[in-house]
Amino acid sequence: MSTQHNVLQNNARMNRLGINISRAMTGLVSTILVAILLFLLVKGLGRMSVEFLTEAPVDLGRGGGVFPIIVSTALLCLVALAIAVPLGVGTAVYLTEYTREGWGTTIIRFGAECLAGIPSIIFGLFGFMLFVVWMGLGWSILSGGLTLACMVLPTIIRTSEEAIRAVPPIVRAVGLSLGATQSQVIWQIVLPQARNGILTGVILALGRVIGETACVIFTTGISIEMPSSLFDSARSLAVHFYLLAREGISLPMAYTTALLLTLLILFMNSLAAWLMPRRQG
Amino acid sequence: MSEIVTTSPIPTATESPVGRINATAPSSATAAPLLAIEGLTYTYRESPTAPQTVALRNISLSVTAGQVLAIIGPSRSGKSTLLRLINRLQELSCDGELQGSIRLDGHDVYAPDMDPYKLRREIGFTFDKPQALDMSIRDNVTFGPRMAGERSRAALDPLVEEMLRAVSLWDEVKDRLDTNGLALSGGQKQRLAIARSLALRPKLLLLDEPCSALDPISTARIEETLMQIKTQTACILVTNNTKQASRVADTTAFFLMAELVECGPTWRLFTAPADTRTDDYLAGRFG
Repeated sequence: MSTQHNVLQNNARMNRLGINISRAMTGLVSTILVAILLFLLVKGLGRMSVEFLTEAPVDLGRGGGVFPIIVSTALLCLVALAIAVPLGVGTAVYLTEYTREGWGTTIIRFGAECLAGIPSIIFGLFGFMLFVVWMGLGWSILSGGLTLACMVLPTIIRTSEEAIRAVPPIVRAVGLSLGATQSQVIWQIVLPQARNGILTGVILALGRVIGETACVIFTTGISIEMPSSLFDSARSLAVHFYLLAREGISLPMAYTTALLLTLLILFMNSLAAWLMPRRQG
Repeated sequence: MSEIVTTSPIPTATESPVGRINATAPSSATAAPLLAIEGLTYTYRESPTAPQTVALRNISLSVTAGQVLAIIGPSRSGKSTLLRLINRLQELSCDGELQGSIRLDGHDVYAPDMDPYKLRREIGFTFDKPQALDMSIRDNVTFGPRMAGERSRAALDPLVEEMLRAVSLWDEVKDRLDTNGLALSGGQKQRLAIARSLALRPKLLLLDEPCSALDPISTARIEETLMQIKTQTACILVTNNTKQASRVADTTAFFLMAELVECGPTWRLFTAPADTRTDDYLAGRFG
């Protein structure tokens, strides 16, 4: 009687312990995030203003704002995604809809996985050699965008593939049974149904592009001017932050830039999270 | 293309916007069956190393216009494979070998010059699991015609009402045609699926156990629908429910282990089966 009571009590105690451990871990993780945000808010909010967002930097960034840098960052993202999304989704469609599983698809998938694991600075070096030097594009938004596209391609392929695979096969059979061709089925049924999953991947990729520093310095350079074309050198927010902090130009401005960058990425990821559960439709 | 708006679900001699296999042949006044299957044998391998499986052996069957043919029999007796061979869905998922012939209106379905996409518009298909496409109810109904190239709203809009009325779904959904089809119940989705197939004005509708996932009330609704549409679109109904066959079918065929055991008028098959195996199956002694 009493042993049974003890066992029950023991079970309950272990259970409580397990719950408390995971609670503590979750708490720790949230604390880190909140701490970083608070730190950035305290240090950076003071200089955050409409002028910061809309004016050009003065004296290498000691004063003024970051407007040209926001524009450059947006252009970099635009170029990177304009290249990586069609390529990535196209590859995913090919891997899921047009081929049967075999050594070919295994190699492509393995290659993409490896590509995802390469440090971004290596991509920077590769982009520098290929786009900046060999293709003669120089330090430019175009070189940077192309390099960033290479970097996020595996992410986009992977997430698109998963999203397309999540569309049940019978849906394709329904389309075909109504006289649709395979490409009509893909464009009219499968991709629209996979859109949220694909979009989630694209937003995650966008987050990586915005936050990338090493590979952008190598390929886009550090020009602080407003770019007049895609062939101009420019700097992204992440690079701007790095230079402000690393070169000791202005720590307060660095923190404000960091705050802006973090808020942007937080916003992107929230958007992705908001889209994610709707994938099931 | 105004004919499509005003005529009943079966085009007489008019060319529908989605094209016809034999636009010149009038669909009535021919004694020949709508669908004629002769000596059909189908074998395939489940995997490259597996031995040949005979899915259908020497099947001969015919369906006349205005009829419902029910195919009954235990699972894995080849019923669904037969349906998928008729509208050439089978070849998309499986390389098999086919002997014998399937003719729709006298045209060999497997002739080299037969366009399988056109064929699938002629022969509707309804799957066992109710499937709505992830788009509005309206777009679900018009999907087939749109993929066939019909774009004008003047042709598509009346089609939506006509087809949804044909499956008695109109009154339930007329106020929310633009909501997603996925929001419908199982029974409603299945009627939507039938409406979607009918929108191409097929000559023949194949139904692969359409009520296996439905409750009795939804099942009764589907059966009513079949009785209504059969005058315009002949149906082949594969079902595990022998009672259902006896309720809706004019002719019933009994399949067992890849063979057609017997086929005859439903009342005759159910009251006086010619083969003892049919008798045993109907009495529930096996299967």
